Amino acid sequence: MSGPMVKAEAVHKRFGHLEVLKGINLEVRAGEVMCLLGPSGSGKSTFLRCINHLEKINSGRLSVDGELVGYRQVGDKLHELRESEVARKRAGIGMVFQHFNLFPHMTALENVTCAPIRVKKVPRAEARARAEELLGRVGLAEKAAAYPAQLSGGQQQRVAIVR
Amino acid sequence: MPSGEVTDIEGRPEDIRAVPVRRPGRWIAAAIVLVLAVVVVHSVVSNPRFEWSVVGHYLFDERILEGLRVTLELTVIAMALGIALGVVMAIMRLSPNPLVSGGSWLYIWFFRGTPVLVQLIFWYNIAALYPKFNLGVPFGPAFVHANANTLIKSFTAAILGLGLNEGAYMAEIVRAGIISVDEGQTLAAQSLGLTRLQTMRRIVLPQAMRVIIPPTGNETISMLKTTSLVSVIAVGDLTYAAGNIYSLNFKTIQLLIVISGWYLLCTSVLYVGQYYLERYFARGAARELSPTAFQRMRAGWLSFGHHEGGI
Repeated sequence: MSGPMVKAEAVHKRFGHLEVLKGINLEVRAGEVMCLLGPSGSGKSTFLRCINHLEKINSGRLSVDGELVGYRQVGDKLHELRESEVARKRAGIGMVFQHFNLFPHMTALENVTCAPIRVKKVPRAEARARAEELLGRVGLAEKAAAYPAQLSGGQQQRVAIVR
Repeated sequence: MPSGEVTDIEGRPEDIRAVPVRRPGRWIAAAIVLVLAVVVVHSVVSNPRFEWSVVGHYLFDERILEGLRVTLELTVIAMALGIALGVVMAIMRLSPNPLVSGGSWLYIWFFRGTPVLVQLIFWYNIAALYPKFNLGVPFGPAFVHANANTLIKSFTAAILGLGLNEGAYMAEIVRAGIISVDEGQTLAAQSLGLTRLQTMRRIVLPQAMRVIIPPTGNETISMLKTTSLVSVIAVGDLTYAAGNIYSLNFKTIQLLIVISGWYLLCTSVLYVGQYYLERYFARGAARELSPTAFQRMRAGWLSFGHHEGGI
């Protein structure tokens, strides 16, 4: 078995004077399921956003699948990754937001096919077929043409997971 | 149906049919409005000085129709220029690069802060400032030379004046639309791996359109009327055409009625267009789309027929 899937070493994150993450160390191996528990405002979501480089960490090291998040190490210097490189890495990480953040102007199917078509350049028909199959697996096959506003909270969550 | 019974023949619960509350205030208000309307209409119709036959005579006059064509052409081109500039300026304004956002700020500050009429006359007289235009490397060799007077005729000056001024207003409208889209949308798009440009084009702008469309419709209607200012720089628009005619025959009011009719017709058409655009971009925002006028009419007839067939 290779190294850990997610590895955090002394990760610090500050918002202004507020120190949210004070030296997080953790390892998650492939196939492992991990729960982060804690009271509201304790930084669980912030940490998840850091893993996806939606937030920049202030110090420490954070890597996914053995690669640093958001940076490339050359010698002992860190270089920021270009936007397109960050985007490509994010495409390999799934994330479901607290409020799901589905795109309201797209149907459930379009929400799911958006990233494969635009980012991974999957042919439209193939992306559609795959999305229909996935929606079917979470029991939303007949809701493929519905807009998020026409779905219940639980249905929206399932679309967000499929996405 | 006898009283006391709450289900119909097939056992379904019967709809409530109560006697509505009387509202005498409404009847009085309606009567006052009606009387005022009759007074106005009567005076318009009975006053011979309106000379409605003159209005009818000039309504489809060739010169008026040519002016209408120029007005519509100006509106479409200036609005297109304004919207394109507005989108670019709004995105520049939100850029993290201070020079880029500062440039956009300066543009908006200048063109929103000076009257359109002044800008129009300025572009018309630009040749006094720059008699020749050269296209080439800045401070370096030029490839194309042009004479300002041949390049910027009055129509071009009108397009520049109206379009650049409109761009400043559209920039603020588009910026408001972009800001109104929830930040979570950008985060979600980025977490899916979309680039900044894709996020803007595929996710943020389509949603911003809901906020952008109504004021843009307003701007288009406003632009249609603002084009009447170009008559001061001798562009043959609708107002200019009317002016040419009434300066000869002194039927000023009649010709103003003629062009007001045309302006009203055009703005009415724009109203309808705006309604359908709003409806298109509202998809996903509401559970159901609001019905179009035709659908509403059909639904009205159907429910009317249903009541007839009821109890």
